Amino acid sequence: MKTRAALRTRLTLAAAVPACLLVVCFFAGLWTGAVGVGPMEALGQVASHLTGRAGPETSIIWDLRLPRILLAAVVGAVLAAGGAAMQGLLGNPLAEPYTAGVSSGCVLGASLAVILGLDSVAGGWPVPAAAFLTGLAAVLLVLALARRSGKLDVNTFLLAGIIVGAFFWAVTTFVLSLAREDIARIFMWLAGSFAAPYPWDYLKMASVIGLLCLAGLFWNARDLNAFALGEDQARSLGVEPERLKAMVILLTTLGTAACVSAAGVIGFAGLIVPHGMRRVFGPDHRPLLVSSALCGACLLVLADALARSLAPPREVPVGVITSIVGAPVFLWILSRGRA
Amino acid sequence: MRKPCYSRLWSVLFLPVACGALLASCGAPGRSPSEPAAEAHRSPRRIVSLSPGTTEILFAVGAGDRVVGVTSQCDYPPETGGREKVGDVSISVEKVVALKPDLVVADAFLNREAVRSVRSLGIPVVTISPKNLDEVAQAVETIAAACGTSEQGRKVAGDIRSAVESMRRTHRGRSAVKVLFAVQASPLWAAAQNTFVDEMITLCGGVNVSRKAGKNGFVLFSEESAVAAAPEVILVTDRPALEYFLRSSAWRGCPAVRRRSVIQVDPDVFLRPSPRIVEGLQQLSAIIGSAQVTQ
Repeated sequence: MKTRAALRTRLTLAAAVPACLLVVCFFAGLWTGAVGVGPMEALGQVASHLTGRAGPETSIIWDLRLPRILLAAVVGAVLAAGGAAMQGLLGNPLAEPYTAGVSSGCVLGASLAVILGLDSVAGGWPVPAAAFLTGLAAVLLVLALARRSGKLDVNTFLLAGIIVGAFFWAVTTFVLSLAREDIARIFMWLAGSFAAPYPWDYLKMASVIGLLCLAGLFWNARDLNAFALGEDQARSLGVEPERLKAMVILLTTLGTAACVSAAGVIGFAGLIVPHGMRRVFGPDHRPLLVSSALCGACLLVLADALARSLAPPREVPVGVITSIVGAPVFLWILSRGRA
Repeated sequence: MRKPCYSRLWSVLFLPVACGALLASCGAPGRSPSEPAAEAHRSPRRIVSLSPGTTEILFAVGAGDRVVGVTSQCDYPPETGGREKVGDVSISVEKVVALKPDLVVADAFLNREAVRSVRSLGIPVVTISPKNLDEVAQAVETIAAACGTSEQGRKVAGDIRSAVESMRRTHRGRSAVKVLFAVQASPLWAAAQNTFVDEMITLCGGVNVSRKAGKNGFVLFSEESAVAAAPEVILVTDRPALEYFLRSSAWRGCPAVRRRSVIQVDPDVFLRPSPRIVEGLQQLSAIIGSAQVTQ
């Protein structure tokens, strides 16, 4: 009983503290940008749109800033929770949502679609669609390679992910060498950017798929705890290891593919956030997944706010910021972990 | 798909990235004709050109029939189609050497590595790296002098200079039109300072709204700032960008979109250092002129 109460306290903390942080980050994002809009005016613009009283005039807040913040939050949540689930499933601290080769698959699909001129068809929708499909194709290929007699071998899965990822990157590099003038349009997928064309549409796509996958991961949190004890232990607790592996990998991949299709490859978020949260809330996947999702959202909302306000009116690619900030932070977490 | 344009690719992607280092390392030396004195005593008979801009200049100054090698990016004038190709974005030095050129003409910025290799093999190289329209005219004269067609070079350069002068006179004292030149819509890449585009917009009586975003070349420009600047003319270089500005809700209220002044232009006449930059100037002047009428 005591442990149950303790778990409840930890879960409440894991949800409440990052949620408050996220609210702060949301307003920080809403109130920073290249164009100065007063805090009250910004809120007023959002309110007038929500109540349907907005005029036909352009609103920088509603059309540009708000969808970017929300997209950053969704992408951050899915990547960080996906990273936590993959690390737990594979028992490997280096695992992240891109481990299964999904990012390189997505980038290849996007670059091929851009080269074939599909971004001038149907409002450019074929590009994220192609990215999503090739991302999934890459993961299915990795899964096929890692299956031995009906079982998924974790180590083979990791290796296959690296190999397939490298292969897809090589093909992408070849495509880039053919690209010439399209290279700038492909660059967005490589560096990551929340300045998506038609941001509300991209947000709808990423949030529907991403949040469904998040819910699925939360649903499997307890089984991940059992799985951490070893496959035989998990079976005795009524968890079917093969089903769990397939579920977690597919959920993470689907969500990640949706994120990469909307915002490109954003590094480190899915790697550092779970490590940090594990240090705070321990290895239990229930508080870990919840807090990772919320803190991942905070991280990318802040990173995007920085990208928009570091050197206005220039923008810095958000993937650059997460990597530059992420690498030292990751090293710091690692060094603390050893102490 | 339109013809590829390689100067655009590099200016868009690598200028913002490599500008500082680049300026420090190849600012001035690129512009001075390398060793024209050594080459002037005899007119070269086999010329290889390593960039679309230098190819256009060679043909314009009447040395086109002696050009034996170009890159696959060189798509103008049409006669380039039949010439031997020595590479695209990257140059195959082996192919250049195999063509036995007695002069190689290159862009100091685009072809840095290739220029270094070819020079080390003892083949004479003339490089250009114009940063503004006056330097384009100088580059024409430099290349013409190296090919022994100085007379024609002076004439072509004179045409560029007089076009610039007449633009300056025509648009003096007219009301300024705010212009956004986007090589890509989302994320938004726009022309900042030290681009031909920036200079051309100013010459034609326009104000480049993204000029303060950077010192050199093209930059990732904040879309918020671009919307807030309320450009009256938006120039794009491809169809996806055109569609984006016309369809996106963020740009609904922008004067350029309301007046249907979002115009797709051929990037080559705006971005390549070649005599065709005059065509770009004339197009821009007409576009800005009609925007001034509706102001």
